[in-house]
Amino acid sequence: MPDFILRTEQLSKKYRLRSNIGLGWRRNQHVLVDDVMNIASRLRNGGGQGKYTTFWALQDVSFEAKEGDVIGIIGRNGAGKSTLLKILSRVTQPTAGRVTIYGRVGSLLEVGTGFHSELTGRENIFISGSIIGMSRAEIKKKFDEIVAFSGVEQFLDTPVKRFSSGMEVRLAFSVAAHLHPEVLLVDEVLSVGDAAFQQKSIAKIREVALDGGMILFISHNMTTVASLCNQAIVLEHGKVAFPLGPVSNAIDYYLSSVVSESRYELEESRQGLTAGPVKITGFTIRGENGTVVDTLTTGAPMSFVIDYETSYPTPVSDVDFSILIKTLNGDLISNLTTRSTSGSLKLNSRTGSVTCKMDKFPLAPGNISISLQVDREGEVLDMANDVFTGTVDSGGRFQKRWRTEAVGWVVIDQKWSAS
Amino acid sequence: MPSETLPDPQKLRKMVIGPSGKWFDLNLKELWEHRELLWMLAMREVQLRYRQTFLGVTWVILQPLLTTVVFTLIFGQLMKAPSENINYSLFTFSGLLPWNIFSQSLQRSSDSLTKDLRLITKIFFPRIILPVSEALSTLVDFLVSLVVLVILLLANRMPFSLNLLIIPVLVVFVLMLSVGVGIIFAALNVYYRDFSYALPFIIQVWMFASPLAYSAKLIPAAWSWIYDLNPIVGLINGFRWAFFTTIDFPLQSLVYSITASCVIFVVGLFIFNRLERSFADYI
Repeated sequence: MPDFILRTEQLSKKYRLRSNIGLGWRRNQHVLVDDVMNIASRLRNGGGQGKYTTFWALQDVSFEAKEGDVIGIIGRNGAGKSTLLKILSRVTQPTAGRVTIYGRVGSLLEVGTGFHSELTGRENIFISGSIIGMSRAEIKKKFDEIVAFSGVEQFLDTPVKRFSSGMEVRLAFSVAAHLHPEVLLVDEVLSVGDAAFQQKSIAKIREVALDGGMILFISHNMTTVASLCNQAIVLEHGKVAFPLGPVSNAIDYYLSSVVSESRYELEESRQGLTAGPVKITGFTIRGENGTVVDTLTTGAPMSFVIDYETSYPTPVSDVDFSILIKTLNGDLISNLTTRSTSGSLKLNSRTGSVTCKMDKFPLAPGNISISLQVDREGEVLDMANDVFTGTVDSGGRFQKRWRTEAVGWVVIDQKWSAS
Repeated sequence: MPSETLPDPQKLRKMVIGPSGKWFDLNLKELWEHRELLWMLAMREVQLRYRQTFLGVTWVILQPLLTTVVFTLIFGQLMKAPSENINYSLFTFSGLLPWNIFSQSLQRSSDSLTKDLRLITKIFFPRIILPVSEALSTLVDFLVSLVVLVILLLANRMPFSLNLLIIPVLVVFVLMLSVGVGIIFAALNVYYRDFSYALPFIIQVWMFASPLAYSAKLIPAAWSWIYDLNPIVGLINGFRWAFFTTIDFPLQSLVYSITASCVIFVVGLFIFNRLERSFADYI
């Protein structure tokens, strides 16, 4: 009998990138005409590779998990966390390496995957139960337990489309949690549902781990990782940056790497442009008390810190910094710029940093990207696109069900009254 | 049930995930284990189809009847299409039974993967279950239409024969043919959505190339060999033979159709199996 439940050995996954002029890089998107042209040109040139560039989403990831382990997978966006989960849940195949698992694999997925809005709660329990791998008999047997755990008894015969999103999440979670798999994959689902239900879910998850199973947990929220996991791995650019170890060490490592990482990403985000006399050398986001964070939090104090280097003789005045916050579609949400506030800055030393401080970060939960620009007297000196791509988190300040409803982009301070 | 108690570590199933090197890798055991899911998804389709419609299940009866009325008016009355000396409406309706299984399960199965793409990117199960469950769900419509046809035949005092017993066999081959074509389209749809735009047109052309509104006897003998390449022709002829005692057994076209259905089904499985490995990466 092996002493592990799950083992990965040199697990690797390669994706192909395709270049499309004007559209940037797109991952694995196919257009018939392009592919036909590509095949045609390959035939003409007598074989050889097409215009693909490859990148490793996951490279040589090895670890072993035992019964009772609750392992956090930490990493920035694109570090390979989701790819790892996809391979473990067999949704996609690895390019190389191997996974050995003893027992069943279950996933706690995004809200209501496999739920159909026209079907009733009861029907959905059966459908989603069998999709995640339960037998009909098993579902029947656990039906009452599932319903009781979700707390939606009265609405069992109502179509799910009339459920509040909170109810839907609770029901979906309940079904998945009753699968009792040996390996449970959890991906951010815990950030939905109200506080009481979250507590209940965490207890349930622990129960699974102790009941002869183990859990792999992916989250951007270091607080949840710290409270739920006993071990963690940090992934960076698809590789293991911090091997499986105590969760607090892993989190420390990760938070310190966030700072150094940003320098690396700056070179990428400059996209071949060369910087002028003022160069952006770093970008960090700081939360309350100046701690470095990797997620923005709605309504919380936040600071953006831009590190620079200048070849001007200092002090140099009239330098303008801009921080452009965009949606992932590229629409500009806001442009924080020195031109509109305190006026242009005066840089006193050759290297230093500029801080933009906000008392209450006003963006609603969602995904954003941040680009930077420096100019002086109307001339662009340096710019860095998408230095940060990440999440704005509700941070527990708002009704959690916001997450799945239309929240818009901005939170406006408001007071309601009725008369 | 033992699964409720602490799992016995000796009995835990070992699973190894790795890059698949095999050329063809149809895991029948896994398919069998997911048979309940197949059934549930097929039932889900049936349940969903007529929910939120005013007429509900009545549509199942109306659709083929209305098509028959239109065909009778245009092709039967105006164009005097031949129907082998059988009441034109009954002739058309009997042909529509297998055709509707074919066209609907082809259409539905080819859309099945792109429709449920969230499932495909999140959960593992044998992907073939999605198109096959869609195809099976059309059988409910078929059974209802079958009852309607039997009633119409009785009303017209048509004689019945034991030939009717061939129908379940024919249905199996119609399904194999439509699933075979459907899964090829479903798999290609994942990569290029172009195929979902082309399919309705293909089905339309296919319909006019099949003996629905007219008898296959209309085709000049010199051309019939190319006409009979259409694998659904023999199956439609077979259906008519089962219902109408005056029609000869279409031996040649039926044997060809059955062979072609099997070949297309296997080819479809093969293509689907090759492509399904990277669905989640491309969808």
